[in-house]
Order: sequence, then C-alpha cells, then structure tokens
Amino acid sequence: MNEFAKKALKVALILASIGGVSAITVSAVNLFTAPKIEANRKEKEKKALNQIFPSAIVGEAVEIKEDAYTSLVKYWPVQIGNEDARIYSCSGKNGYGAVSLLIGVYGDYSLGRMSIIDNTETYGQTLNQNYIAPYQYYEDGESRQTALDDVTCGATYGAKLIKGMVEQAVAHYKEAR
Amino acid sequence: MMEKKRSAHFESFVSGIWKENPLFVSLLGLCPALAVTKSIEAAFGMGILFTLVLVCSNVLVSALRKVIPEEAKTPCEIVIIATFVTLVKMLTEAILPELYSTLGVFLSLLVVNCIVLGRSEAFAIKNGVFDSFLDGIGNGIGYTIAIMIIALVREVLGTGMITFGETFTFIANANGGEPFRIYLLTGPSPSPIEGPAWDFSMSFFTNPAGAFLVLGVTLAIIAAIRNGKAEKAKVDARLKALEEKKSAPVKANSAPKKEEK
Repeated sequence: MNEFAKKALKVALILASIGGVSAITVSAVNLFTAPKIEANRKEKEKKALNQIFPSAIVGEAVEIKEDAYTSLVKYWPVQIGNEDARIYSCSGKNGYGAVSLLIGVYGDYSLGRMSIIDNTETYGQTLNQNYIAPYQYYEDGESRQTALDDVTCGATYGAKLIKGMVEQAVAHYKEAR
Repeated sequence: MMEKKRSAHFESFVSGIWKENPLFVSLLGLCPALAVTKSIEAAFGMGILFTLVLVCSNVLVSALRKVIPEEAKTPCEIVIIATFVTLVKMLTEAILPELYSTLGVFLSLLVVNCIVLGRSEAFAIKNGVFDSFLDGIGNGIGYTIAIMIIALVREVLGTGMITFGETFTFIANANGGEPFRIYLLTGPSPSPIEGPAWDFSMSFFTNPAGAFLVLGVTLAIIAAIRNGKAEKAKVDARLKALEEKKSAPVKANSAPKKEEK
C-alpha cells in the first residue's frame, strides 16, 4: 500500500470513527428526549383542544389520509350541547418555515377558535401576536369577522398558509356531511 | 513560570469578553444577534445554549487535536459542532419547549455559526484543553452579554416594557401563571386588542431594521470608548516622554554639582 493510500485510509478511519461516536451519542440522547418531546406535544395539543371549544366533549382523533387534503392531518369530532363540530389538526409550510395549528369548525361551517401548535417561521411571533391573538379575543360580531378576515385574507405568507388550511378543513367537513 | 501560565489562562478567558468580543469587536454571529434579540429572555436563552455548544466543541476539538489529521480538520470540527448542536437542540425541546419554539431555526443554525467554527479553527485546534475551555467560556459570556445589551434596548424601546416568563414559563408559573412585566415606556394593556392608556414605545425596534439600528449605535458607542482610551494612552505616552526629556538634563547638571562638592 502506497503512502497516499495509507494517509487516505487514516483520514477516512478517523472521520468514520468521529461520525460513528457522534451518531451513537445523538441516538442515545434521542432515546431519552423523544418520549418527553412527544409528551410535551400531546400536552400542548390537549391544552389547545380545550381552548378551542372550552365546554365541549371532544371525541377520539381520526386520521385523514385523502390526497386532496394535503394540509389536514387529523380531526376530532366535538359535541357542543346538541350541535356537532370538529377540530382539525393542520400543518403546512411556506418560504419562512412550517406552521401547524388546530382549527375549530362549527356545524354551520363557521370558524371557531384557532391555536398554533408549532410555528417555525422566521417571523413566527408576528402570526400569533398580530393575527391569531386578536381573532381569539373577539367572541362574535363584526370585530370577530374583521379579525377573521385578517387571519385568512392571504395577504401575508402566514395568512396565505392559514387560508389554505381553513379552506381545506371546511371543505373536508362539508364533504363528510 | 507559574505566574506566566496563570496570566495566559486569564488572558484566554478575558479577551473574549471585552478585548476580542465576538460580536462587538469581531462582528461575528450577527445573524442570531439580530434575529433573537427581540426579548431579553430569548437573548439570554440563546446566549446560554451558544456558550454550551462553544465550550463543549472547543474542549473536544482541543482534546482530539493530536488525532485529527490536518487534511480532515474542518470536516471533523463540523461533525463535532453539529453533534453538540443536535444534542442541545433535543434537550432544549424536551426540557424548555417554549425557549425551543422562540429560538426556532436559529438554534439549528448554530452549526454554521462563525464564532463556534472560528474558535475551534483559530484557538482550540492549537491550544490545550483547559485554555480552550476558558476561551469558550469567555467568548460565550462575551456574546451573551453583547446580545443581551441589544435585546434590552430593543425590548424597552420596541415594546415599552421588559417581560419575564414568556420564554421561561417557570417564572410565569411562580407569578400565578401570568408573565412578570416591568412597564417602562407603556402602561398595562386591558386586553390584547385595546391599547394601553399611555404608550411611548416604538414598534420599529422590534423589527429587523430596528435591530440593525441598535447594533450600529452600540458599535459606534463602543468604538468611541475604545478610540477615547487609545487617544488617552497616546497622550499619556507623549507626556511621559516629555517628562523624561525634561528630567534628563537636570540629572546631567546635577552630576557635576556632586563632583564639585
């Protein structure tokens, strides 16, 4: 074996061993953190479900696998008194990152509250502070409609993403009925 | 010998805090400095995580410096840094999920942070483990202080208050579930929609352009302080030289007087 081959082999071995140790360490830490991360996510989802329809009975989640509804992940059937409703779990991406949120839809297809589960957009806080928070604040009436228009107008990249999710959620609910 | 060693260790630690501050002097790590300095809490969180990654990668690179071949130096350093960033990212997501979502993509971007890679390349690969550890701590503290100064100015001017408990939720939990707020340029707001009774905040400072402005002004102030010190040192040196010149002939005159006696 010539000198060059020996050197190349040495470099390859060292890189492989550093990479191997790194992979083992990451996997080991992942074993401990993954259940905790999943539990955090479920906790957050549970809190958000209660916020969307506070006095409702929430059923078991149903997975959505239809190709036409790319933004929808699953939904929860909800009972508010005698009325049916649904909470949709949606996720999508734009040029700034990914957003996943829960959208409440009443039986008459009007929108209930929304709650952001994850938002990795670079300007992620803006979406919540400027759009979702004002929308959540108004219970009904003209102000709520104005706030809703702001959230779903499609004027910003975040609003465009949410508009797509809302349209798919409502369309899915209509089709199911 | 011991004294020299001790002062070298001290120099490794201190230089990163003021003399060679990564942000204010070397202008490195500008991207997270502009992006996560909206709130003092986020800046503090970023600073701590950054310090952790920097110290760990510096120590490991330094420990392996005799094993790592010259040809594979950079790939090895990047693998080491990427491993620590991934570990820190997973632990933050598990332990402090709010901080994780506040920092967002900028936590992952630590892999390509020029300070972390720069310190490995310029210092850790050439120096001992203890010095590299001190260098990491010093630079980490320097960077944390720098981004916290920017965050403090931006948060106060941009929101009119300082908020604790939005990112570190245990502070809010200790305060009965509500974040703890210190109102400085604005009054308390009765609802998320209705504005406060009085408000002198300028939301411009919470935008990226505001971050650039604050950074620019801070850099100008620091440059003025440094230049002032340099000027003072020059003037002192000149005065000293003049005094030496003045005292030199006196000595020359005094010598023959003694002889006369």
